Amino acid sequence: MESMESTYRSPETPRGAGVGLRLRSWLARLSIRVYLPSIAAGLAKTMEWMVRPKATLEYPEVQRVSRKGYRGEHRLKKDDQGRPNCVACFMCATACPAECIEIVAMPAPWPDRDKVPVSFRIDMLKCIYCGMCEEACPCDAIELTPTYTRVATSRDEKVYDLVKLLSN
Amino acid sequence: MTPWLWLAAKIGFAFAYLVGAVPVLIMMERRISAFIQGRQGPNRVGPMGSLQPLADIIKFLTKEFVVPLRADRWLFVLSPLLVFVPPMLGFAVVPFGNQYGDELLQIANLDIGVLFSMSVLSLGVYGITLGGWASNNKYSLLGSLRASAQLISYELSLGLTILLAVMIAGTVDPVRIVQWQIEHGWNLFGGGSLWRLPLGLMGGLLMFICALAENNRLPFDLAECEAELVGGYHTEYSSMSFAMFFMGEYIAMVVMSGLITTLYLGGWHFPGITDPTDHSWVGALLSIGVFTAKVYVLLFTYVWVRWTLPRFKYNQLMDLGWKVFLPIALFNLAAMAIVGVILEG
Amino acid sequence: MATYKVNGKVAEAPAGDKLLPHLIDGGTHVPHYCWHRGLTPAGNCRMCLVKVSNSRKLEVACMYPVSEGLEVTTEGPDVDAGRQAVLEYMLINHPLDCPVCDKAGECDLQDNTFKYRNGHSRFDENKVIRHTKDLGPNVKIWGNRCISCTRCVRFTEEITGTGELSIVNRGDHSVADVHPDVPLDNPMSLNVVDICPVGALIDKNFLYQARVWFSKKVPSVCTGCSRGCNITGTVLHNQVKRLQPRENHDVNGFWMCDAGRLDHEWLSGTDRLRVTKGDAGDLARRLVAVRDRNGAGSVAMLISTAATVEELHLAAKLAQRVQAEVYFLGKVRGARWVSPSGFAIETDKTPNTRGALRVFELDALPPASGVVDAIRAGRIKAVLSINGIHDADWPEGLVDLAPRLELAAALDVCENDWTKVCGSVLPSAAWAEKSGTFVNRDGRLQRIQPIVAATGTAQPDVVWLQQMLIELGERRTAISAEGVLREALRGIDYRQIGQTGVVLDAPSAPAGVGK
Repeated sequence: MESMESTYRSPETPRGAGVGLRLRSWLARLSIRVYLPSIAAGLAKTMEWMVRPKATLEYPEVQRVSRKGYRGEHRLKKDDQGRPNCVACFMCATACPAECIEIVAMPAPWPDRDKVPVSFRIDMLKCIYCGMCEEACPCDAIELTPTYTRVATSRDEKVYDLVKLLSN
Repeated sequence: MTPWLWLAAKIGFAFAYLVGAVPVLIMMERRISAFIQGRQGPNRVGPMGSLQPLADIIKFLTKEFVVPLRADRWLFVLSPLLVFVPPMLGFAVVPFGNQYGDELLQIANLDIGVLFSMSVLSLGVYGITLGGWASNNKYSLLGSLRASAQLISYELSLGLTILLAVMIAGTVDPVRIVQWQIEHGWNLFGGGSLWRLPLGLMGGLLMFICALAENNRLPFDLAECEAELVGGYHTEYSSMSFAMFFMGEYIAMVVMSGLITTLYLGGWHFPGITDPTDHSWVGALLSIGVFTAKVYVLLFTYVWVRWTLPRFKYNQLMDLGWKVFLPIALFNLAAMAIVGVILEG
Repeated sequence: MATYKVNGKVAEAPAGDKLLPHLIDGGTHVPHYCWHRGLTPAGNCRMCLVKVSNSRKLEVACMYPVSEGLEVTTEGPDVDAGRQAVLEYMLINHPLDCPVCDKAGECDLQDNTFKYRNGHSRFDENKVIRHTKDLGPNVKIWGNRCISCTRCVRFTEEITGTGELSIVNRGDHSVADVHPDVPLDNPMSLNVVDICPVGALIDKNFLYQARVWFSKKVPSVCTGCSRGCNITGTVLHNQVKRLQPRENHDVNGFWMCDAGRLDHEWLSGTDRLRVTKGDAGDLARRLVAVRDRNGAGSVAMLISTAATVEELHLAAKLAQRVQAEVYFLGKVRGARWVSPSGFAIETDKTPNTRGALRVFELDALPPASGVVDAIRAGRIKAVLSINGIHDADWPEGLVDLAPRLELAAALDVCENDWTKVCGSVLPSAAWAEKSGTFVNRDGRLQRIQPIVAATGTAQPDVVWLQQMLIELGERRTAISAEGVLREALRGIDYRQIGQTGVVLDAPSAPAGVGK
């Protein structure tokens, strides 16, 4: 059985040290040997933590306020006539590293627009919330909101479609 | 009231006192550990989470009781009881209050007093050892072997520190030990003599540390060391049989705190609050309150130490027990004898 | 031959030839829009600017002749500056609507802008708005994107000779357009979409169907007629989205017809057979049983000339085994159409009539109507059809005569009146889902390959037929289509055929099978 001395390395006394330094060094070694000063320091530290404000948030009642630029769930923006800004250019789907965006395009029913999405689906379970889609969008149509709390009871619910994304 | 009824009432009170401490301790343990770690801890069940122990008990009760294949069934069922009962017996000689009328607030005023509680407390090791052996599991067995070696080692120092208190007070009757402390001052501070002050301090500290080891509490909980032994001696135990181990451990803590209080911290008396001559029901209740307060300060320290210190290695544990505590305790005792004989006549 | 230098390296070309094709053949990148190898050079886009030693200004390579001792520089700061300036002019009125443009990803203007420009426009004024409209049944124009290169105009003049398109208006208002009441509806109209270097001319059938960078391009051969144009299929999500011509000067040059281009739409149609009815081994045993009961020649096989050489070879083996009479199912439509440039659209709408002649060693193919006569005469008691196209010329009366048969079975791609009365139907893989070879009308052996996965339980006919032959003890194991080809045409494998095919024998074009 190895001894405690070999387990706990004591501070070495510097060579040629004066009496004061030697004494301090001896005291330091002694305090390690008898544990008690260190234990007292540890107890003081835990007592300090006991009275400190807690890091935990009481989640459902208290909710963390997302910082600016937080990347949560997506939404599709609408123009002043309520039409999706999206032109179905597939830039977000192209940029997406998780390949979670699935778009089907169609010719626009409006004279001033060429192309609109007929279906726009994001699989939120595949999404890694990197924000590349937002970066890639040439029309400022897709955006990540600070929402991060939406729960679902089935996988299908987490595949967001055009209607859901427009109302998000 | 007849003596028998008195006895029954006191036994009932002591049982309720000990078992009732378990949920309080569970709550203390969980909330204090949470606070130390910057968390909130369980605070959803009941007001401030106070019904959390109830939820734990329901959980224990509804779990399946599994007896491992090829385990020694009889011992397997018996050993939790062996852990549960001895600490309760140890409480029999602890005076948990002053007296009401002519009746001492102590279950049994034995002549051997402190020695009785020492002897029954050391029976707890059988429960742990048999539980580990009956489980037919190598981790359980290793855990119980460690526990038995540890308990025997620290019992020596514990006994010597108890003896120190006995020597200071000059009696083994806990009631008279308390009485002596009321008259002279706490044994922790040497019982009023400056010569005995360092010895008393040393003895009290040593007794508390040995109590940690006796109760398998961190930093000496090598018997259930999760990282090495899965769950130690109670690896195979589930549902209420596990809860019995659990409760036995907490009850042992309360009893040990009661002993320390009695031997070193002046028992049920606190100057200015209790009056030793007041034998009315008010005085009795006050003395029980003071005793409880002292016990719970110690229990809080148990928990506080647990969430502060890491676990010792087994070799360190043994080194500490045999090479440090035992010599210090022996030296204490010898010094006390010398001080007692030479300096104070 | 004149010797000249390209970027310091010596090259040779006939004196007087235009520079650009020789530069490109020599492996030098020269951006260009209006020049197309299949059209006469026009020299109007000014993008192929190069520095030549005979001139102090930059010259367009597509119009500049090769001469002895000429020194050509195709890159460098001054050439780049010239091209950048040309691009800046083009982009003045270009809408830069790449996000909604179907050409994005394969657009020359986009690629060159990415290469030469810095992404900034100095043009702050309003852009000229030009028309967006339908030019014909298949083509739509986004006039704003047009750079007036006149490739499409030259195509309708030189290749189809129909001349529907011309550039209208002047200056920055100029744009390609059709004349009033003359829609762009010639049989090759969709080629203008391929040659348009920008996204001005768009295929309405492909409009917004796919972003090309997600899709896969796979070479194949058109099965729409006996010419066998070389094609490239654009595939996305296991669907053929578009067919485009693939350059092969021995067959189709740069072009293909609109009908062939749209010959993929039925592949994902609802009438495709997806479920197996019956079992190949069982079918084979029952064919033999019919032969045994009624004697040789009581089984008829009705084989379509859309079957590959491999399938025909296996069918011939099967016919030999069950002593079947063989008739051929064809598809003949319309009149032969030949463009002034010599591009022909054949009337025989099946790809392998010549292959059938060769495999069965016949001078003429017995038409499908023969099988109807034979059933009426009571000779035929079982009919097995092997068909690979969705609208073959089924002989009249065949379906009504089905009750007289002991066994009616089909290997087919789509549900039709005949498969509805068949007891056994084995779904076949269509041309885009299988490997095989065709012999076109000029005797050129060309190869198709699977570009999408087959639907449902469909299998290539090569698999079904081999299962039948294995059941009858004619074969031990099934082998790949290439293995079957090696068996059918000794000495030829897929590597030899390559992407452009090999000529099997001297051309003497046969007519298609009559009704």
